[in-house]
Amino acid sequence: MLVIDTRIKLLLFILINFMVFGLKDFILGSVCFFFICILSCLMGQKKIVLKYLIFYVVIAAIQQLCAFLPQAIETILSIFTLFIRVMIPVVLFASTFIATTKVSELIAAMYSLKIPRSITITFAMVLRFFPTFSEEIHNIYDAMKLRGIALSWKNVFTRPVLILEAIAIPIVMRSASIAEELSASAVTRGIDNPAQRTSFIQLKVHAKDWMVLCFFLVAFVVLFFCKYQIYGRI
Amino acid sequence: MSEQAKAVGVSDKMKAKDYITLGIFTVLFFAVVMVCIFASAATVVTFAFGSAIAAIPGGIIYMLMRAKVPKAGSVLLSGVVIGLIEFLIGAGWAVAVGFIAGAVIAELLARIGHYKSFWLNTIGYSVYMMFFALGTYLPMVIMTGYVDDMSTSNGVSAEYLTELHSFMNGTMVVIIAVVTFVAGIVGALIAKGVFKKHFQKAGIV
Repeated sequence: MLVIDTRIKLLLFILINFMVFGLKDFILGSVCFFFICILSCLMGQKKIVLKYLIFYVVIAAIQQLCAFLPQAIETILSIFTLFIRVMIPVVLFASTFIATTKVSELIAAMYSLKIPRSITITFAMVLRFFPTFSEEIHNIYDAMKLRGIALSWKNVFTRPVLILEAIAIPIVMRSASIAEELSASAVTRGIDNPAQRTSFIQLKVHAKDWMVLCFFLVAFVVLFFCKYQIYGRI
Repeated sequence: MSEQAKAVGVSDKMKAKDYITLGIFTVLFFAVVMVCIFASAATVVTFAFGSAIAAIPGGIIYMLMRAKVPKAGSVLLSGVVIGLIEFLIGAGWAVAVGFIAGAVIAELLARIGHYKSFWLNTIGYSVYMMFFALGTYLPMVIMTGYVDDMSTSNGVSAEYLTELHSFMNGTMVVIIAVVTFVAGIVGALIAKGVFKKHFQKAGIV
């Protein structure tokens, strides 16, 4: 399994973003998608690749079928499917990125890239809070059921304001107290210490990382050259 | 950041506690926006106004962030972090740039009011959501241009093209931006009501 340095992955991510949004042509876009599929497979994410590959084929098929639909539907649907088709490669690489990167690796990479500490801490906080957040939501959902205001279609339509209040207010209250508790815990462990930070994770860029990056750079140039040949503009 | 703090007369810089508070409310804000966008994507027409729908509940959280951390750089920081997350989940760079650009303007507006003026924060929030809407929908408009390219080679009817442009064009984006702006103001006003009813009593704000 191919393990790529987190910083190189970030660079690749930016490159892929530009590549995908620059190449909306069906054939060139598909070639680009194919390269990303191979990269994800090499990184050991075959399941994710398969899922997005099927999704891509379905969307492409809908796009082709659009021509047989009435004009009004065709117009809206073709733009919608085009937008989704262009987004799939980016989302695929994003899922691969998230599946292959630990939060602590990402934070170590952010420190080594000299990103301001304010951004790094807030960002780390956000990533850490997501699982806690979904747990809180489940608890609130259970409590709502107990009080007879379960999140059902009937309740949403008959008393929407009450439902919204019953979800929003506890979430905000809980979040505020979690913020207090977490910051107390973080300050105790020296988060305000201005000294240079050390990390358990050692980041190193190997030759294979450069190879992958170079491959995508070459692909970038070649695909845009093809686009120039076909459309006469970048 | 320290120079800014002096300039606006806010005595203290942000500390770890403020970063953590901002981080947590950024997650809330992000979750609300995402739920609204996904819910609106059920039909194509409501999808165009997903950002406007998101602006209404999002107002509560945004205004709470301003009330909890009225310090220099707080708006910008949460904008940058949301932009980063949007980028990481693959929403494309345009959305991230929209969020960051909106946050810069909202930060400047909030600074004029020393981070405490309700109306300046409200307008800042509306601008912030408007830029988010632009970042989300402008790429779609640019794609209609791409369909033009494709059609010249494939011989698609001119009728189709006019219809396409009538649905997704510059005017549509302007409408979306204006609606989002208004929704932002409505969201902030609702937030004010919710603050009075719930948070002030509980001592959250």
